[in-house]
Amino acid sequence: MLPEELLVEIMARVPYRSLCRFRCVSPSWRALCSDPSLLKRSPQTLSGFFCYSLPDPWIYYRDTRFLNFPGGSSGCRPLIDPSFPFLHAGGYTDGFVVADCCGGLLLVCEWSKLRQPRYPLDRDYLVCNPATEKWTVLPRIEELDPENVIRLCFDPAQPHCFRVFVFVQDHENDCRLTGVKIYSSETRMWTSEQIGWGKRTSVIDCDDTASVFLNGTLHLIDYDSRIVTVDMDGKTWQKFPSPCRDDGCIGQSQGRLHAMQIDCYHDYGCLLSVWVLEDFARGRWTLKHTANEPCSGATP
Amino acid sequence: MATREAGKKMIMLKSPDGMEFEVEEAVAMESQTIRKMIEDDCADTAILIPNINSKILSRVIEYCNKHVPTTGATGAAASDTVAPAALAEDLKIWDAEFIKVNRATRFDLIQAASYLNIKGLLDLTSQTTIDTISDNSLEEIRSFLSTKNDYLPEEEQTIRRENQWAFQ
Repeated sequence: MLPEELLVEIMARVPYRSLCRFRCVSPSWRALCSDPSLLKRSPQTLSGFFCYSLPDPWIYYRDTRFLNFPGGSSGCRPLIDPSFPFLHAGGYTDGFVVADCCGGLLLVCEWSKLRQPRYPLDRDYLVCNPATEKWTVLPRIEELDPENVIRLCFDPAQPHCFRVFVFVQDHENDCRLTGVKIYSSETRMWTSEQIGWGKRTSVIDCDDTASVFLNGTLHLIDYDSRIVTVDMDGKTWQKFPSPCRDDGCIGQSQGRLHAMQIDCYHDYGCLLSVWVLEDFARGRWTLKHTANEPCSGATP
Repeated sequence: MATREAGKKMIMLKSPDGMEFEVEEAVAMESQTIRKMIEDDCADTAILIPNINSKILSRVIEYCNKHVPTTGATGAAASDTVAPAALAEDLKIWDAEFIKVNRATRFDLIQAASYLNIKGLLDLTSQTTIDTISDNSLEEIRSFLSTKNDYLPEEEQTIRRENQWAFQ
């Protein structure tokens, strides 16, 4: 038998799904495979990504497709059928668009090209897990509307709870945020919170600049290119500078927040810059990579 | 055993069961543990490798011999004529053959790779172990790991329900 520290060394290479299987081996394996420091080292289980067909300019008219991620740690996983046939069995016969995804869960919105909703509330939002084919219907509220910024927060290390944030935008007034509704899967209720980033905050909400949910905190970018963060309960609100200017985006890698920007210099090609947030407490960024690229069609 | 060539420093490795292995310094330094000993001048004559028997140590040396960077160890000619991609492919096939050992030997190799701090060998042995057990049933995993199922029946039911998705 191997000593414990070697077991940890080996288990750190196991994908999350297998760790969950190993938890059922025995109580001591359950403790080993639930250790947060181990879960942090567990390989990324990304097996593919959703994309939309072009050139439809209006996001809710796009067909969703799913591409397997080549060479991923779970490369043998089947393709996900983006029409989510398991939801049809639940009486949802229309199509869906993916509104957000986080930690393997998807937030999808009922949508059909053929059947236009008569009013905004005439469609359901569902949180589903394509691996288990289970889903939850979010209770309808007026704010749950594509006009607002809707984000899903889920940490696979805490598989029993997720949150959905709906940041309410004032479209008459620079899309400034007027409040937030938070759905908790534990209470199955929506709660209201005040925006804690200041009254004049607007956040960027488009495909290219995805938000990031990391370490129990949701990160977004505001109109002044700052990073704004809020914890899962909507209690702790923070704001700090990002290294990017107008057109940067954020992402996560190896458990840390990254920022990226592409500067185009017409005849000279593009410069890609990637920063990593080394020190969350002080908001200190470090330039990690730069790369020159030809300018052909690259968009930040 | 490698023959002594001009200009190549040799190192003597001793296993606790009394066997001695003469290896090129470059090969021995594939182990970060031994590299540190050599760099700290703790290795004039022979290095005793505790806890690793001669059978396992000889396999570890075999691995290091194969994985030492080609320039210098096996002569510059090899890397001049063979493309790097082909070399990498060749190494992969060699690794796959090398790791075809029984469970006890593999666990010994993991411990040796960890003690001697040979990252490539630790990666290879750990990954092979994971690949062996990842898709097995719980009973097979338990028997492979020689672990008993000491869950109470109701406990096991709960934990199985919580993690059901991972079995689908």
